[in-house]
Amino acid sequence: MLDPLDTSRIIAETGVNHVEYRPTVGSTNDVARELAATMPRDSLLLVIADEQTAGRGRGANRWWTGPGALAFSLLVDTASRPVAKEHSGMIALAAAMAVVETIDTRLEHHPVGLHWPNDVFVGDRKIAGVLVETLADGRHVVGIGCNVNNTVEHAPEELAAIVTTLRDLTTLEHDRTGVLVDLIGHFERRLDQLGTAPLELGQECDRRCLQHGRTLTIEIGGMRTTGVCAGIAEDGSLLLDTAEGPRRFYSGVLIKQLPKF
Amino acid sequence: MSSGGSSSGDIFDVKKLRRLIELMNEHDLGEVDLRDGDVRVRLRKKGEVAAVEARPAMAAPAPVAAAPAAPTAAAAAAPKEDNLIVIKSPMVGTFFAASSPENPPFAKVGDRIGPESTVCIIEAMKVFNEIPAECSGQIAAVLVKNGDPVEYGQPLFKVDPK
Repeated sequence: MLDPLDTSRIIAETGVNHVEYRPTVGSTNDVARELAATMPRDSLLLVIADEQTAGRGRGANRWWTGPGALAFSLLVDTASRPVAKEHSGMIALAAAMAVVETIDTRLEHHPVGLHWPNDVFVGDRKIAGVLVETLADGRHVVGIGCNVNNTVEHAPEELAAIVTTLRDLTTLEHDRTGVLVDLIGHFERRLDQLGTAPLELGQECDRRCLQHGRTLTIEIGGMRTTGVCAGIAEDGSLLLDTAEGPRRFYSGVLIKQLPKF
Repeated sequence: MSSGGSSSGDIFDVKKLRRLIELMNEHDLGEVDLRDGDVRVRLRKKGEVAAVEARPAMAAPAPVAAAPAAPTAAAAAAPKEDNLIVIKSPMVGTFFAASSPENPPFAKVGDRIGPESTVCIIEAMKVFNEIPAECSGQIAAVLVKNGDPVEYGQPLFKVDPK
Protein backbone atom coordinates (compact mmCIF):
# COMPACT_ATOMS: atom_id res chain seq x y z
CA MET A 1 0.00 0.00 0.00
CA LEU A 2 1.10 3.53 -0.71
CA ASP A 3 1.79 5.72 2.29
CA PRO A 4 -0.50 8.73 1.81
CA LEU A 5 1.17 12.10 1.44
CA ASP A 6 0.58 14.53 4.29
CA THR A 7 -0.19 17.77 2.45
CA SER A 8 -0.72 19.85 5.61
CA ARG A 9 2.76 18.86 6.80
CA ILE A 10 4.20 19.88 3.43
CA ILE A 11 2.58 23.32 3.74
CA ALA A 12 3.67 23.68 7.39
CA GLU A 13 7.30 22.67 6.82
CA THR A 14 8.11 24.15 3.40
CA GLY A 15 7.52 27.34 1.44
CA VAL A 16 4.77 25.62 -0.55
CA ASN A 17 1.47 27.44 -0.09
CA HIS A 18 -0.77 25.48 -2.42
CA VAL A 19 -0.85 21.72 -3.03
CA GLU A 20 -2.71 20.16 -5.92
CA TYR A 21 -2.94 16.41 -5.37
CA ARG A 22 -4.13 14.09 -8.12
CA PRO A 23 -4.21 10.29 -7.78
CA THR A 24 -3.48 9.86 -11.50
CA VAL A 25 -2.35 12.48 -13.96
CA GLY A 26 -0.90 12.64 -17.46
CA SER A 27 1.94 14.92 -16.45
CA THR A 28 2.25 17.00 -13.27
CA ASN A 29 4.03 19.65 -15.38
CA ASP A 30 0.93 20.00 -17.56
CA VAL A 31 -1.31 20.48 -14.49
CA ALA A 32 1.08 23.10 -13.08
CA ARG A 33 1.00 24.93 -16.41
CA GLU A 34 -2.81 24.88 -16.43
CA LEU A 35 -2.99 26.23 -12.88
CA ALA A 36 -0.31 28.88 -13.46
CA ALA A 37 -2.81 31.51 -14.64
CA THR A 38 -4.73 31.26 -11.35
CA MET A 39 -1.67 31.45 -9.09
CA PRO A 40 -0.21 34.69 -7.72
CA ARG A 41 3.33 35.15 -9.05
CA ASP A 42 4.98 34.83 -5.64
CA SER A 43 3.17 31.62 -4.67
CA LEU A 44 4.88 28.25 -4.62
CA LEU A 45 2.56 25.62 -6.08
CA LEU A 46 3.14 21.89 -5.69
CA VAL A 47 1.40 19.49 -8.04
CA ILE A 48 1.79 15.87 -7.02
CA ALA A 49 0.42 12.60 -8.31
CA ASP A 50 0.61 8.99 -7.22
CA GLU A 51 0.69 7.91 -10.81
CA GLN A 52 1.91 9.79 -13.87
CA THR A 53 0.89 8.29 -17.19
CA ALA A 54 2.65 10.65 -19.60
CA GLY A 55 5.60 12.08 -17.72
CA ARG A 56 7.70 14.61 -19.60
CA GLY A 57 10.94 13.80 -21.28
CA ARG A 58 11.42 13.80 -24.99
CA GLY A 59 10.86 10.67 -27.02
CA ALA A 60 12.12 7.54 -25.32
CA ASN A 61 13.26 9.50 -22.26
CA ARG A 62 9.83 9.55 -20.70
CA TRP A 63 10.05 9.02 -16.99
CA TRP A 64 8.91 5.77 -15.42
CA THR A 65 6.97 6.01 -12.13
CA GLY A 66 6.01 2.79 -10.43
CA PRO A 67 3.82 2.79 -7.31
CA GLY A 68 5.73 4.51 -4.49
CA ALA A 69 7.73 6.90 -6.64
CA LEU A 70 7.54 10.64 -6.15
CA ALA A 71 6.36 12.50 -9.25
CA PHE A 72 5.71 16.18 -8.78
CA SER A 73 6.08 19.66 -10.17
CA LEU A 74 6.74 22.99 -8.52
CA LEU A 75 5.61 26.27 -10.08
CA VAL A 76 8.14 28.87 -9.02
CA ASP A 77 8.92 32.48 -9.89
CA THR A 78 12.68 32.92 -9.60
CA ALA A 79 12.38 36.65 -10.28
CA SER A 80 10.63 37.15 -6.95
CA ARG A 81 13.39 35.37 -5.00
CA PRO A 82 15.39 37.07 -6.70
CA VAL A 83 17.48 35.17 -9.24
CA ALA A 84 19.20 37.13 -12.00
CA LYS A 85 17.78 36.27 -15.40
CA GLU A 86 21.14 35.16 -16.75
CA HIS A 87 21.38 32.53 -14.02
CA SER A 88 17.84 31.18 -14.16
CA GLY A 89 18.99 28.65 -16.77
CA MET A 90 20.76 26.78 -13.96
CA ILE A 91 17.46 25.96 -12.27
CA ALA A 92 17.42 22.32 -13.45
CA LEU A 93 20.90 21.87 -11.93
CA ALA A 94 19.68 23.50 -8.70
CA ALA A 95 16.80 21.03 -8.54
CA ALA A 96 19.07 18.07 -9.33
CA MET A 97 21.45 19.15 -6.54
CA ALA A 98 18.50 19.28 -4.13
CA VAL A 99 17.68 15.69 -5.05
CA VAL A 100 21.33 14.66 -4.56
CA GLU A 101 21.30 16.12 -1.04
CA THR A 102 17.99 14.47 -0.20
CA ILE A 103 19.13 11.04 -1.40
CA ASP A 104 22.58 11.39 0.12
CA THR A 105 21.30 11.56 3.69
CA ARG A 106 19.33 8.35 3.22
CA LEU A 107 22.11 6.28 1.71
CA GLU A 108 25.42 5.29 3.20
CA HIS A 109 28.42 4.20 1.18
CA HIS A 110 26.78 4.90 -2.15
CA PRO A 111 28.15 7.38 -4.72
CA VAL A 112 25.25 9.79 -5.30
CA GLY A 113 25.78 12.51 -7.88
CA LEU A 114 24.82 14.31 -11.06
CA HIS A 115 24.81 13.36 -14.68
CA TRP A 116 24.78 16.67 -16.55
CA PRO A 117 22.48 18.42 -16.76
CA ASN A 118 19.39 16.98 -15.08
CA ASP A 119 19.77 13.42 -13.85
CA VAL A 120 20.66 12.02 -10.44
CA PHE A 121 22.51 8.75 -10.34
CA VAL A 122 23.60 6.31 -7.67
CA GLY A 123 26.64 4.68 -9.18
CA ASP A 124 25.66 3.78 -12.72
CA ARG A 125 21.92 3.72 -12.11
CA LYS A 126 19.50 6.59 -12.45
CA ILE A 127 17.37 7.38 -9.41
CA ALA A 128 15.84 10.74 -10.36
CA GLY A 129 15.38 13.16 -13.22
CA VAL A 130 14.46 16.82 -13.56
CA LEU A 131 12.77 18.63 -16.42
CA VAL A 132 12.06 22.35 -16.32
CA GLU A 133 9.70 24.32 -18.54
CA THR A 134 9.97 28.09 -18.46
CA LEU A 135 6.69 29.78 -19.27
CA ALA A 136 6.54 32.80 -21.55
CA ASP A 137 5.89 34.96 -18.44
CA GLY A 138 9.21 33.83 -16.93
CA ARG A 139 7.89 31.44 -14.28
CA HIS A 140 9.33 27.94 -14.12
CA VAL A 141 7.59 24.59 -13.89
CA VAL A 142 10.13 22.29 -12.27
CA GLY A 143 9.20 18.65 -12.78
CA ILE A 144 10.95 16.03 -10.65
CA GLY A 145 10.63 12.27 -10.76
CA CYS A 146 12.37 10.42 -7.93
CA ASN A 147 12.38 6.70 -7.25
CA VAL A 148 11.59 6.23 -3.56
CA ASN A 149 9.39 3.26 -2.54
CA ASN A 150 8.90 1.86 -6.01
CA THR A 151 11.03 -1.09 -7.05
CA VAL A 152 12.84 -2.01 -10.22
CA GLU A 153 11.02 -5.34 -10.09
CA HIS A 154 8.09 -3.42 -11.59
CA ALA A 155 10.15 -1.39 -14.06
CA PRO A 156 9.94 -2.04 -17.79
CA GLU A 157 12.52 -4.58 -18.89
CA GLU A 158 14.63 -2.06 -20.82
CA LEU A 159 14.98 0.11 -17.70
CA ALA A 160 15.43 -2.53 -15.00
CA ALA A 161 19.21 -2.69 -15.46
CA ILE A 162 19.80 1.06 -15.51
CA VAL A 163 17.53 2.50 -12.80
CA THR A 164 17.39 2.12 -9.05
CA THR A 165 15.22 3.22 -6.13
CA LEU A 166 15.74 4.18 -2.48
CA ARG A 167 13.78 1.13 -1.41
CA ASP A 168 15.89 -1.23 -3.51
CA LEU A 169 19.12 0.27 -2.23
CA THR A 170 18.16 0.27 1.46
CA THR A 171 15.58 -2.55 1.63
CA LEU A 172 13.48 -0.07 3.61
CA GLU A 173 10.24 1.78 3.02
CA HIS A 174 10.78 5.53 3.28
CA ASP A 175 8.43 8.24 4.53
CA ARG A 176 7.55 9.86 1.18
CA THR A 177 6.27 13.04 2.82
CA GLY A 178 9.57 13.35 4.69
CA VAL A 179 11.54 12.85 1.47
CA LEU A 180 9.41 15.48 -0.26
CA VAL A 181 9.69 17.99 2.58
CA ASP A 182 13.49 17.60 2.63
CA LEU A 183 13.73 17.86 -1.13
CA ILE A 184 11.62 21.03 -1.36
CA GLY A 185 13.63 22.57 1.50
CA HIS A 186 16.92 21.81 -0.24
CA PHE A 187 15.53 23.18 -3.51
CA GLU A 188 14.48 26.45 -1.88
CA ARG A 189 17.95 26.85 -0.40
CA ARG A 190 19.49 26.12 -3.81
CA LEU A 191 17.24 28.79 -5.35
CA ASP A 192 18.50 31.25 -2.72
CA GLN A 193 22.06 30.24 -3.64
CA LEU A 194 21.24 30.77 -7.32
CA GLY A 195 20.26 34.32 -6.37
CA THR A 196 23.19 35.13 -4.11
CA ALA A 197 26.09 32.93 -5.27
CA PRO A 198 25.30 31.22 -8.60
CA LEU A 199 28.93 30.41 -9.37
CA GLU A 200 29.21 28.50 -6.08
CA LEU A 201 26.26 26.40 -7.18
CA GLY A 202 28.11 25.63 -10.42
CA GLN A 203 31.21 24.65 -8.45
CA GLU A 204 29.20 22.35 -6.17
CA CYS A 205 27.56 20.74 -9.17
CA ASP A 206 31.01 20.09 -10.57
CA ARG A 207 32.10 18.39 -7.35
CA ARG A 208 29.02 16.13 -7.49
CA CYS A 209 29.34 15.37 -11.21
CA LEU A 210 29.83 11.61 -11.68
CA GLN A 211 30.95 11.97 -15.32
CA HIS A 212 34.45 13.37 -14.66
CA GLY A 213 37.02 11.58 -16.82
CA ARG A 214 34.43 9.67 -18.84
CA THR A 215 34.44 9.74 -22.61
CA LEU A 216 31.13 11.28 -23.64
CA THR A 217 29.49 11.86 -27.01
CA ILE A 218 27.04 14.74 -27.29
CA GLU A 219 24.76 15.35 -30.24
CA ILE A 220 23.19 18.64 -31.20
CA GLY A 221 21.56 19.44 -34.51
CA GLY A 222 22.73 16.13 -35.98
CA MET A 223 26.41 16.83 -35.17
CA ARG A 224 28.22 14.60 -32.70
CA THR A 225 31.20 15.60 -30.60
CA THR A 226 33.20 13.23 -28.45
CA GLY A 227 35.49 14.23 -25.63
CA VAL A 228 36.60 13.47 -22.11
CA CYS A 229 34.34 15.07 -19.52
CA ALA A 230 36.11 17.77 -17.52
CA GLY A 231 33.07 18.34 -15.33
CA ILE A 232 30.56 21.16 -15.05
CA ALA A 233 31.58 24.80 -15.49
CA GLU A 234 30.60 27.55 -13.04
CA ASP A 235 27.83 28.65 -15.40
CA GLY A 236 26.39 25.13 -15.50
CA SER A 237 27.65 24.15 -18.95
CA LEU A 238 29.24 20.77 -19.69
CA LEU A 239 33.01 20.78 -20.27
CA LEU A 240 34.50 18.33 -22.76
CA ASP A 241 38.16 18.01 -23.71
CA THR A 242 37.98 17.18 -27.39
CA ALA A 243 40.62 16.54 -30.08
CA GLU A 244 40.12 20.20 -31.13
CA GLY A 245 40.55 21.49 -27.60
CA PRO A 246 38.27 22.23 -24.64
CA ARG A 247 34.64 22.89 -25.52
CA ARG A 248 31.61 23.78 -23.44
CA PHE A 249 28.04 22.78 -24.17
CA TYR A 250 24.78 24.37 -23.09
CA SER A 251 22.55 21.96 -24.95
CA GLY A 252 22.61 18.62 -26.65
CA VAL A 253 21.77 14.99 -26.05
CA LEU A 254 24.36 12.70 -24.52
CA ILE A 255 24.55 9.55 -26.60
CA LYS A 256 24.39 6.47 -24.46
CA GLN A 257 27.47 4.31 -24.77
CA LEU A 258 26.88 0.66 -25.45
CA PRO A 259 27.99 -1.51 -22.56
CA LYS A 260 31.32 -3.23 -23.09
CA PHE A 261 31.41 -7.02 -23.04
CA MET B 1 13.19 7.54 -40.12
CA SER B 2 14.39 10.32 -42.32
CA SER B 3 17.80 10.12 -43.86
CA GLY B 4 20.12 12.81 -45.15
CA GLY B 5 19.21 11.78 -48.69
CA SER B 6 15.50 12.24 -48.35
CA SER B 7 16.01 15.53 -46.53
CA SER B 8 18.13 16.94 -49.31
CA GLY B 9 15.48 15.78 -51.79
CA ASP B 10 12.96 17.89 -49.94
CA ILE B 11 15.04 20.98 -49.78
CA PHE B 12 15.73 20.97 -53.52
CA ASP B 13 12.09 20.49 -54.45
CA VAL B 14 11.56 22.99 -57.27
CA LYS B 15 8.03 23.82 -56.12
CA LYS B 16 9.34 24.61 -52.67
CA LEU B 17 12.10 26.78 -54.10
CA ARG B 18 9.56 28.61 -56.26
CA ARG B 19 7.30 29.11 -53.24
CA LEU B 20 10.26 30.45 -51.27
CA ILE B 21 11.03 32.94 -54.03
CA GLU B 22 7.36 33.97 -54.09
CA LEU B 23 7.46 34.51 -50.35
CA MET B 24 10.64 36.54 -50.71
CA ASN B 25 8.88 38.75 -53.25
CA GLU B 26 5.67 38.97 -51.23
CA HIS B 27 7.51 40.09 -48.14
CA ASP B 28 10.31 41.92 -49.88
CA LEU B 29 12.99 39.67 -48.37
CA GLY B 30 16.52 40.15 -49.65
CA GLU B 31 17.83 36.77 -48.56
CA VAL B 32 16.67 33.39 -47.26
CA ASP B 33 19.13 30.98 -45.69
CA LEU B 34 17.97 27.43 -44.94
CA ARG B 35 19.82 24.43 -43.61
CA ASP B 36 18.73 20.81 -43.58
CA GLY B 37 21.31 18.43 -42.17
CA ASP B 38 24.49 18.98 -44.17
CA VAL B 39 22.74 20.73 -47.05
CA ARG B 40 22.25 24.46 -47.18
CA VAL B 41 20.24 26.58 -49.59
CA ARG B 42 20.68 30.31 -49.73
CA LEU B 43 18.51 32.48 -51.94
CA ARG B 44 19.74 36.01 -52.36
CA LYS B 45 18.24 38.75 -54.48
CA LYS B 46 20.55 40.74 -56.71
CA GLY B 47 18.50 43.49 -58.23
CA GLU B 48 15.62 41.59 -59.78
CA VAL B 49 17.50 38.31 -60.14
CA ALA B 50 17.38 35.68 -57.43
CA ALA B 51 20.64 33.82 -57.09
CA VAL B 52 20.41 30.24 -55.89
CA GLU B 53 23.33 28.85 -54.00
CA ALA B 54 23.52 25.37 -52.55
CA ARG B 55 26.50 23.92 -50.79
CA PRO B 56 27.28 21.78 -47.78
CA ALA B 57 26.73 23.68 -44.58
CA MET B 58 29.75 24.61 -42.56
CA ALA B 59 30.24 22.54 -39.47
CA ALA B 60 28.01 24.06 -36.84
CA PRO B 61 30.15 25.84 -34.28
CA ALA B 62 30.08 24.59 -30.74
CA PRO B 63 27.77 26.60 -28.56
CA VAL B 64 30.49 28.47 -26.75
CA ALA B 65 29.68 32.09 -27.31
CA ALA B 66 27.58 33.12 -24.35
CA ALA B 67 25.81 31.69 -21.38
CA PRO B 68 22.11 31.11 -21.76
CA ALA B 69 20.05 34.01 -20.54
CA ALA B 70 16.43 34.24 -19.55
CA PRO B 71 13.87 34.10 -22.32
CA THR B 72 12.80 37.68 -22.12
CA ALA B 73 16.31 39.12 -21.86
CA ALA B 74 17.39 39.24 -25.47
CA ALA B 75 14.49 38.04 -27.57
CA ALA B 76 14.49 41.66 -28.52
CA ALA B 77 12.69 42.20 -31.75
CA ALA B 78 14.47 44.85 -33.76
CA PRO B 79 13.07 46.41 -36.97
CA LYS B 80 15.28 45.76 -39.99
CA GLU B 81 15.90 47.70 -43.15
CA ASP B 82 13.23 45.71 -44.97
CA ASN B 83 10.70 46.78 -42.32
CA LEU B 84 10.47 43.23 -41.05
CA ILE B 85 11.02 42.57 -37.36
CA VAL B 86 13.57 39.92 -36.47
CA ILE B 87 12.96 37.74 -33.41
CA LYS B 88 16.34 36.68 -32.09
CA SER B 89 17.38 33.85 -29.82
CA PRO B 90 17.86 35.04 -26.23
CA MET B 91 20.22 32.17 -25.44
CA VAL B 92 22.46 29.39 -26.65
CA GLY B 93 20.51 26.17 -26.99
CA THR B 94 18.43 23.91 -29.18
CA PHE B 95 15.47 25.26 -31.16
CA PHE B 96 12.16 23.40 -30.99
CA ALA B 97 9.34 24.56 -33.27
CA ALA B 98 6.65 22.70 -31.30
CA SER B 99 6.02 21.60 -27.72
CA SER B 100 6.37 17.95 -28.77
CA PRO B 101 7.00 16.09 -32.02
CA GLU B 102 3.27 15.26 -32.22
CA ASN B 103 2.13 18.87 -31.93
CA PRO B 104 1.95 21.52 -34.67
CA PRO B 105 4.57 24.29 -34.65
CA PHE B 106 3.93 27.32 -32.46
CA ALA B 107 4.48 29.67 -35.40
CA LYS B 108 4.59 29.09 -39.13
CA VAL B 109 4.73 31.43 -42.10
CA GLY B 110 1.47 33.38 -42.37
CA ASP B 111 0.49 33.05 -38.68
CA ARG B 112 -0.52 36.21 -36.89
CA ILE B 113 1.18 36.72 -33.54
CA GLY B 114 1.01 39.10 -30.61
CA PRO B 115 3.65 40.11 -28.05
CA GLU B 116 2.73 37.28 -25.67
CA SER B 117 2.47 34.56 -28.33
CA THR B 118 4.94 31.74 -27.83
CA VAL B 119 6.84 31.33 -31.09
CA CYS B 120 9.16 28.45 -30.18
CA ILE B 121 10.96 26.65 -27.37
CA ILE B 122 14.69 26.86 -26.82
CA GLU B 123 16.21 24.20 -24.60
CA ALA B 124 19.36 24.88 -22.64
CA MET B 125 20.59 22.68 -19.79
CA LYS B 126 17.26 20.80 -19.82
CA VAL B 127 15.30 23.96 -19.25
CA PHE B 128 12.72 24.27 -22.01
CA ASN B 129 12.14 27.98 -22.45
CA GLU B 130 9.00 29.22 -24.13
CA ILE B 131 10.05 32.21 -26.22
CA PRO B 132 7.48 35.04 -26.46
CA ALA B 133 7.29 37.03 -29.72
CA GLU B 134 7.45 40.42 -27.96
CA CYS B 135 6.11 41.98 -31.14
CA SER B 136 2.96 41.87 -33.27
CA GLY B 137 2.41 40.99 -36.89
CA GLN B 138 2.52 38.11 -39.31
CA ILE B 139 5.29 35.50 -39.49
CA ALA B 140 7.13 36.16 -42.78
CA ALA B 141 9.94 33.63 -42.43
CA VAL B 142 11.11 30.86 -40.12
CA LEU B 143 14.88 30.97 -40.24
CA VAL B 144 15.78 27.81 -38.30
CA LYS B 145 14.70 24.21 -38.31
CA ASN B 146 13.37 22.02 -35.52
CA GLY B 147 16.29 20.59 -33.56
CA ASP B 148 18.85 23.13 -34.81
CA PRO B 149 21.46 24.47 -32.41
CA VAL B 150 21.09 28.23 -32.02
CA GLU B 151 23.46 30.90 -30.79
CA TYR B 152 22.77 33.93 -28.63
CA GLY B 153 21.25 36.63 -30.81
CA GLN B 154 20.71 34.36 -33.82
CA PRO B 155 17.70 35.41 -35.94
CA LEU B 156 14.85 32.91 -35.56
CA PHE B 157 11.85 34.51 -37.25
CA LYS B 158 11.03 37.47 -39.44
CA VAL B 159 7.76 39.20 -38.69
CA ASP B 160 5.85 41.59 -40.92
CA PRO B 161 4.44 44.18 -38.51
CA LYS B 162 1.75 45.35 -40.98
